[in-house]
Formats: sequence, structure tokens, C-alpha cells
Amino acid sequence: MRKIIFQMMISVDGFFEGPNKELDWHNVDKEFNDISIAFLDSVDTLIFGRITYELMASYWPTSEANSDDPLVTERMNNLQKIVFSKTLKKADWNNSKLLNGNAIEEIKKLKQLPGKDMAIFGSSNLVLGLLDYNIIDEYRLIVSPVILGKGTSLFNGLKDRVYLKLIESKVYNSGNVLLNYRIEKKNS
Amino acid sequence: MRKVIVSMYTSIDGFIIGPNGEMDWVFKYADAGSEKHSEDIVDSIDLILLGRVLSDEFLPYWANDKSEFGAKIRGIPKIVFSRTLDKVEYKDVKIIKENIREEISKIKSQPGKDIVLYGGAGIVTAFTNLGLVDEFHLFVTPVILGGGKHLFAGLNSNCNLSLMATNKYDSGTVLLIYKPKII
Repeated sequence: MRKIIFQMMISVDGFFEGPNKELDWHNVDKEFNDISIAFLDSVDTLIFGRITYELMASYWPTSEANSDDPLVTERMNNLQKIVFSKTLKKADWNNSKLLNGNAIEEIKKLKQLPGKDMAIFGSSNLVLGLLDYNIIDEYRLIVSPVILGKGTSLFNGLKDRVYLKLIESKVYNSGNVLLNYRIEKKNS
Repeated sequence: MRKVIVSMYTSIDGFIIGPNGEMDWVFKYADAGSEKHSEDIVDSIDLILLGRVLSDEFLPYWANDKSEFGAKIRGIPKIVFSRTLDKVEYKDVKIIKENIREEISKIKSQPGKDIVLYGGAGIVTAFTNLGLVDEFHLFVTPVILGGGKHLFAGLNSNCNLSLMATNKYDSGTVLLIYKPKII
């Protein structure tokens, strides 16, 4: 069965964005870009919650994105995208599909279809709602070498503690560390 | 000059204690490998620094720790940071009430082995804000706590780090060793 892979960059102290939603601390270099391209080539669908979708849809189609990063931009724009939202009216970014039903059921159905793996970037609210249901196969957290001190923490709003199992870890020249987990069990 | 080493366990979402003060997960994930690193740190230092709240937990615990590690740690001088305490009933424990920067800078410039700071969050943040930390040894455990006391809560501004080394233990805990990045 195809996997759902969640990927997010976090600070050493576990924040995915600063207090004013800053992402300027993201530690990105050529090696990271090359890995991102390889990862994008291993999936055929990107799944988003509304907030991350809107952020990405406002960036990747721009000429700025294309001149900064043509290879990632091309992939982000061409890949099939699915956005879950009950409030969004339309999803205009190239090759997007808007779904307003139950994300859990919809993603379970998608996993049954033939195809490559699927990725979820950011979309912390969506992911929080999926944590309970063993739908996400890999949680790839990239720890950037910075302490923010404040912001929004990963899985903010989680009710019960979740135990993970480390599948792999990798250290990059930039000082980023990839920690790849799956859920071991839920404590409730 | 003597280094100040911060050594702490944290959840993957950056909490050092759970929403109701829980620290059971630290004991769940501290295994032979990570404990060995902690012991190596103890062998490389001759002074232990503690915030007041943490000292209330650690000092009585160490006083009754019958292990070799307990004996070793009892023999090391300690400093507790507190504005309100005047004395501590354990031997070889000094109190620093104020002028942390001056006091610690003075100690760092004296001859001796390295110094370890075990927390808690408040004093680690204060040390980081004052630029007094030379190395962070963070044991990142494979648990999402979802709430609690945040490591580095109250930091004045972003602190960029350089990754120096990592290690991985059987429990799934990963040690990340950083030093502050000099820009």
C-alpha cells in the first residue's frame, strides 16, 4: 500500500513557526534542495490543510519561486495536490483538488488506490486530526540548528501524549538532522 | 577556559516536563547508552549548576542514590540559583542570588574542569540569553507531550547553533550536541 509521509522542519525547541508565523529561520542549502527534489520525485500527490495550501499556492506559481528554485518549483506546480477544507470555495493552483469531506475517510480511500507515496507538508491542524488513526506512515521531522524560544509547537493542541518509534536519523552538512518516526502507541 | 555544558532530556516537541509536571518519560527513555553519555559528562566536570525548582527534586534524590553514580555526584560541588533561598541543607551547595553573568564568568575564568547545567528551563534560558552556554547536549526522546514546560521559554531572540555531534540510542533517543554559532 502507498505510504503517507509527513515532513516538517522544526527548531531545536520544537516549533514549526515563530510567534508571528515566521519561517525565515529555515535552514536550507543545496543539499537540502537536492533531497527535496528526490523526495518530490518519490511521491505523486501532495496533501494539504487549508492554511498551508494557501501559503504554498501564493508562492510556487510566482516567477520569484521559479527563479529561486526552478526544479522544486516545477515539481510543486505539476504534482497532484489535494486540499482539505470546509471553508475554501475553490483551489486554483495548478492540478489541485478541493475535498470538503472527512479527511480520514478520504485519505484511507486514497491509500487504497494504486500510485506512488503521498506527502503532507506543514498542515499541522490536519496532521493533528490524523494522529489518532494510524494513517500517516512516516513523520519526517527536520531539526534545524536554531532555538526560537517562542512560536507554535509541533502538534500544538494534542490532548494525549503520543509515543513514537525512531525509524531512521540522518545528519546533513547544514547542521539539519532528519528524525524519521512512526507512531508506536497512543497514551489515552 | 572552562565550558558550561547544558545537559537535558526533551520531548520531540520541545517540552522538558509534561503538562502536569510529568518526568516519567525521561526515565522511560534514559537507557544504558544515554546514561553512559551522562556519566562521561559527570567525569569531565567538577561543578554542577541547578535551578531552584530542579534542585528540590535532584538534591534529595542524589542524597539517597546508592549507586556508584550517586556517590560520584554527591562528591561534586553544586550551585543553586535562587533569589529567595539563603541556605540549602545539603553539603557543598552554594547559592547564587543575583549577578549571574559576573559570578559565572568569574568561575569560568578560574582553573578547573568543565561545568554542567542540568536545568530547569528558567535558568537555562537565562544562561542562553547571557551567552554563558558553551555546549548544549540535548537528548531528544521519541515522544510528543503536546504541552508542558517549554525548553528555552522566554528566550530574548533566536539563537543560531552549530551542530557538533549526534548519537543514537536503542530507546530511540537521539543526542544532539550543539554550540552557539558565532556570527
